[in-house]
Amino acid sequence: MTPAYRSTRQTRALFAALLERPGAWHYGYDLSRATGLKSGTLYPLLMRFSERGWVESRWAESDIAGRPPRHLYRITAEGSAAAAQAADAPSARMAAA
Amino acid sequence: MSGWRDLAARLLGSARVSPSLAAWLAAALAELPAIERTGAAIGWTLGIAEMVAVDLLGQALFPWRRGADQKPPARFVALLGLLLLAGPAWRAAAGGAPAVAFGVLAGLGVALSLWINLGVVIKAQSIDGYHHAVAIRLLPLNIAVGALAVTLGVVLL
Repeated sequence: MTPAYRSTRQTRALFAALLERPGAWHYGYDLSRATGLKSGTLYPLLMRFSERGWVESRWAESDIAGRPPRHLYRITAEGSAAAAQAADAPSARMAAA
Repeated sequence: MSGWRDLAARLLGSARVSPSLAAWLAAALAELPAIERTGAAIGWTLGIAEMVAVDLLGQALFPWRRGADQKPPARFVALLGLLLLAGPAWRAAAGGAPAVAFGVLAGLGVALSLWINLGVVIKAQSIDGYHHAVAIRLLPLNIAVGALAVTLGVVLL
């Protein structure tokens, strides 16, 4: 069972960035710029979000020829519910999806 | 991709990180060519390096967390072990009666270096939940660093 997860400023920032365009796919670097989180903080957070089913991810070919594929992230319905929970009770522990 | 980014991506991408981190590491590295500003790309790379270092340190300090089929980060551990022995080696070479605090730190360095290198070399696993097997991996660099730690420990005692 995935343990409960404490909402932090970083968690809420990531939720906010993902929910800016809820159905859209986001690049990791764009999420970093939107949240102000460094890669060393953002990716462990995305890993935990993914483990809890709050984001889905996929690889996509780059728009620019010669560049490697990039990873994209999108918030799920469970993620949106967890985001609402985090916004309602910022210091509460959030259950896994 | 520019030279240093390519080098950083190859170097970080080849690190023996935990399987759960490997795909995410690849995802983070894949962003590097898309970052236009050099300063931002350096910051991004340092963040990834931090993520890799935390994972490798965790594997070094807690070897039982590694999966049965997971290759240990042997070269990283040997390098870290050597760095940990630098202070104690200097202390042993200087001789005399050093401050107690430095002696304690030197002892800790030796113990940690020995611990992480043993953790790479020795592999223990249970069979059928009852019997336990211990295997010694033939990793000359780690065995050498471990032996150096033991020698320094004896000299410092």
